[in-house]
Amino acid sequence: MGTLNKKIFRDIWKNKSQFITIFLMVFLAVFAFAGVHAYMDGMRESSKIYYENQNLQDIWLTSENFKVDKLEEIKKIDNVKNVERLLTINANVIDSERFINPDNNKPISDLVIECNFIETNDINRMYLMDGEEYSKDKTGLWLDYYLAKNIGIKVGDELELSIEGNNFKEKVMGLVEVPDHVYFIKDESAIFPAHNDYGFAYLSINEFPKNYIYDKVLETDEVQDAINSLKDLKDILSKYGITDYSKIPSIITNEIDGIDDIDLSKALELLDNYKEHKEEFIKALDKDFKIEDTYIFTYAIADVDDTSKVNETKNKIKDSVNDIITATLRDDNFSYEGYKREAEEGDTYSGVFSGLFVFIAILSVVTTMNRFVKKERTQIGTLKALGIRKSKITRMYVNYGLFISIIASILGIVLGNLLIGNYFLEMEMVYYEIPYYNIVTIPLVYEVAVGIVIIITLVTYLSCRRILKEPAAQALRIERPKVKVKENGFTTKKVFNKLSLSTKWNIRDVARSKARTIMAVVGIAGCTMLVVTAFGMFDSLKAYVAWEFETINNFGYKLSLSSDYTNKQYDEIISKYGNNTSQTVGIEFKNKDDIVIKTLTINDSNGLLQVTDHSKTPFKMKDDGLYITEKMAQVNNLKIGDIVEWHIVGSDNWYKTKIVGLNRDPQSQAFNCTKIFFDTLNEEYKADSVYTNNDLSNIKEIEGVNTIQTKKNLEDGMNSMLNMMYSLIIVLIAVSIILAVVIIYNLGILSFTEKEYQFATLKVLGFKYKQIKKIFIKQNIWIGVFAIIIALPLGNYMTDYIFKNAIGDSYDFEAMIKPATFIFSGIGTFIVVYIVNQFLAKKIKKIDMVSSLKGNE
Amino acid sequence: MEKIVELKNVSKVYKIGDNEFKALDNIDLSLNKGEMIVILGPSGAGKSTLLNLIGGMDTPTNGEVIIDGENISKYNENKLSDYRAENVGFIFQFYNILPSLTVKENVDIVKDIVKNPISTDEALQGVGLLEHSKKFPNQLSGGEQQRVSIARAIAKNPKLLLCDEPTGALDSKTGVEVLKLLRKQCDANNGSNTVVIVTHNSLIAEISDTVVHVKNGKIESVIKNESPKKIDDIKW
Repeated sequence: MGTLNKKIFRDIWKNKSQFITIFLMVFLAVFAFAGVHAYMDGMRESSKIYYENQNLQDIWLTSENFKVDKLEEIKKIDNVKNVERLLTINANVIDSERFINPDNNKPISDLVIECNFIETNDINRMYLMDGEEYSKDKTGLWLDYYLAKNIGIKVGDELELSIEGNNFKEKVMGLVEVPDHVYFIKDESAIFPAHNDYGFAYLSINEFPKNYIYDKVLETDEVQDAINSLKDLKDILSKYGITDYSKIPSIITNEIDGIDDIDLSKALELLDNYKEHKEEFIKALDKDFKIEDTYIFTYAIADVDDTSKVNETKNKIKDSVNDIITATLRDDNFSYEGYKREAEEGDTYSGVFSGLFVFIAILSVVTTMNRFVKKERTQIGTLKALGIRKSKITRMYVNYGLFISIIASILGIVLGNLLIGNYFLEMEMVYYEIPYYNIVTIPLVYEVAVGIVIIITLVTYLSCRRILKEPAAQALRIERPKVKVKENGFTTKKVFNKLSLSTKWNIRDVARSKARTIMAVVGIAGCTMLVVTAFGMFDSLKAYVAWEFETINNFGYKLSLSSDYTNKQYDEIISKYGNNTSQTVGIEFKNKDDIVIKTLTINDSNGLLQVTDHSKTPFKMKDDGLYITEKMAQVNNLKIGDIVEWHIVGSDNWYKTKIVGLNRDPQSQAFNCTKIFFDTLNEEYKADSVYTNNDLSNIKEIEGVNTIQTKKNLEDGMNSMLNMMYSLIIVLIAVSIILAVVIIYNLGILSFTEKEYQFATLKVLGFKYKQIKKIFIKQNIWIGVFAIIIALPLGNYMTDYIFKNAIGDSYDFEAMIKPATFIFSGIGTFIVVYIVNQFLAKKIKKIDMVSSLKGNE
Repeated sequence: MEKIVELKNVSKVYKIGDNEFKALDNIDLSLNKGEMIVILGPSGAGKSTLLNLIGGMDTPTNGEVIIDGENISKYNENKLSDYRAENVGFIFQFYNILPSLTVKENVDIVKDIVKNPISTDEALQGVGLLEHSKKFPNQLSGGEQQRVSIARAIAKNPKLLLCDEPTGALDSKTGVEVLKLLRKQCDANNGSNTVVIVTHNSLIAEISDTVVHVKNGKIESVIKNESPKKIDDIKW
């Protein structure tokens, strides 16, 4: 090892406190930055690969029925690569009590499976976790892996399903995950996916229960008319004593329309017992009847060649194909958008945090390295005087920061990935169904790490070069601290004369060491701001939950009604639990050249589902128009008085309605109106939710009601979903606090080192430890207090920024930080500043007057 | 004559790694009150160590350091601070004045630690810097800065004025000025003040009352100078 290299290691050892803090600052910044990115980018990249491999659809379509010819029509549209259709319907599992809900360890009373009957599976391909591959010709079902895992269903098990009373048995052929079911919840009232009493399955269309179709066919007006006509005919024939229906006189049969399609004798034979012989009877009524033609495929999914033109393709499908109810893209899909939002939400707030970590650490490390090189001035001068080349000296000093920052950066990336990245990715992916996922280190992380190393190296290089530019003789002399008269003259006049010497001394020291002071203020303020923001996010999220569940949801129970409830069931429900209802419908409205899909909630809840104004205070809506949430108005550039042209999805009646007011909702940006207003449109109001404050704790099932939810369950669900965010915030708080301690300690060390010889002078003069400590701490306390005062409003601003701008258009909430949080964050930082400085002040006792003063010479 | 400094069997050993270095080796020394004493010796002889022990900036490894009848070698940190504050004025080769304080404030600072300091203006008047009192140190020449350092030391009205190479960084003319101030301080208070100067410049010995020669950590000789030269008579 060369002599100069030995010097590097010895100097590092001699200045270990400073180099350890440099190491820690770089490490913590890279650790947090790399860790947070590892899981955020892991989420994003894993889904990207999964979607691509499994060919997630580009366009979602709904219609009354996608018949073959309509499918062909869509396929012919330019840029459409492929189209598939689905028949999606919910089925109940018979005998579901044999399965145990892992959440409460109780038998599952109602296990619902969303059954998707398909033909081919080239788009939105199932990912097989277990069992055999899907084929249209195979019987059985391919079940949601998440559900199967949760309640213990295995490949080969048999499930008996029921669709509106039509039971059928299916063997589980495979356990699958599907790209458009990454984020899948039971219904809109559920907040996070549990997959304990609901899930999804894919089956061949051939497995669709035929009796269900026959029932539907038999219920049609056409068939009912035919049955009535057959009954009349049978009566007439019996009057004439004709019982052999193969010998009906042609005079009669000629009178029947479409007689060639009907097997009349068979139809008459089966007429009395047609419900037992549905298939034969229907085929008797229509010789050409094919069950394949009767499936009602309300959904279709399309794949495009050129994704950059997907929007045009979507519009073309909607415009040129008849009866398309909705055509939406990936960003409108619940699963795709929900997952993406989650990744982006975290991305923004953790990006802000980790970005600040890096900024503060760089600032602090750069100042420290600059000061360190300055301290080495006479040694640099000596080396130069000895004739060592400038480049060699520079290389040596550059190596100090280079080695440490490289090691700290590598460790930061590795440990950030392993600890933060893996932990949070695992935690997050519990809620999402993606079969393979991994932490990812994107180039940006390496770029930031390399950037930190380069900046530190560059600053060290420049500081060193500056000293080396001086003649060796000059560099051999210590640089005397200069007090500029221009800048400090004011401190010798007027009120300043009345200040104590230590105060004046500190004021001038602050003015003299501007870079260090600014760095100290930025460092402490930055860390305090991070702490305020992190705790502020806690407060704000809690305030958001309170706004939603204590103000808006003013009910004890929410009953989500079945889509096919009868009038009788409805009357019974509202007579028992009160006529407090709402209906939410999908609407489309014109916004300049775009058609935007949103929802309209028709609120007839009598105050149980409240609408809140700008200041989150409930108010009663007027009955003369539409209300729109503030965030949505802002996003779509709408205001009170504007006329909106809109229609209910699936209806051709377009309305032009005035926006009569704005309301705010923390998590649902939509239109609202009263039932009185809705009734003026002559649209049918069909409630989908009933709200009540009755005690329903002992009621498990209500006819016509899909789910009974307590407000507490809803709130717990929300909190469970937020737990992930809370955990990440805790990590960010921990890193912020550690970084704050390290930075404050580092600043203290810098401040102390620069004043050491002055303290030694004071000590020689006879100043006692306490007197010198007071001088030393005074300045750092000032800087600390000043930084804290700046940081508190900045923390509020940053929290506000994160909530207002960074978390997606569907949310609307701002920083709602409790005064106590500001007080505790401020006092907390102050205590850290105070304790660290008390600790550092102990160094005053250890000042060796002789060597400090000699060293200064 | 009354003794102001008495060192009995004093040793100072520094540990450097596994090695020990004896800076002072079992020395005995008595210095009289009211004298200007020069401690003379080559580099590394132990003269600054001797000065540091007398000034309470360091403690001996063995032996007793008695100042004006008080054994300060057993003092704790606090008592040593009090001792330095009340009894000792220091002057260093590189002045060690505080760069963030003005000339006046550098002298004023002693008011925080001394019960009966002489007035700052009087001290500055004494060193001829009253008109520079509002300046900052970096606006002054080296000689002027050393005079601030002297003013700060004499403002404490100390029994002992300890000077470590006070003219080492100055040109001859300024050095003479400084020595004159030190002699003036020695003669003040009816000649009761004691000034101890550590130097390797033997010329300064000619103006002193007593010359102590130190070599290799031992007192080589203590010589009384019966007829000290006038400062203006010494030739640099």
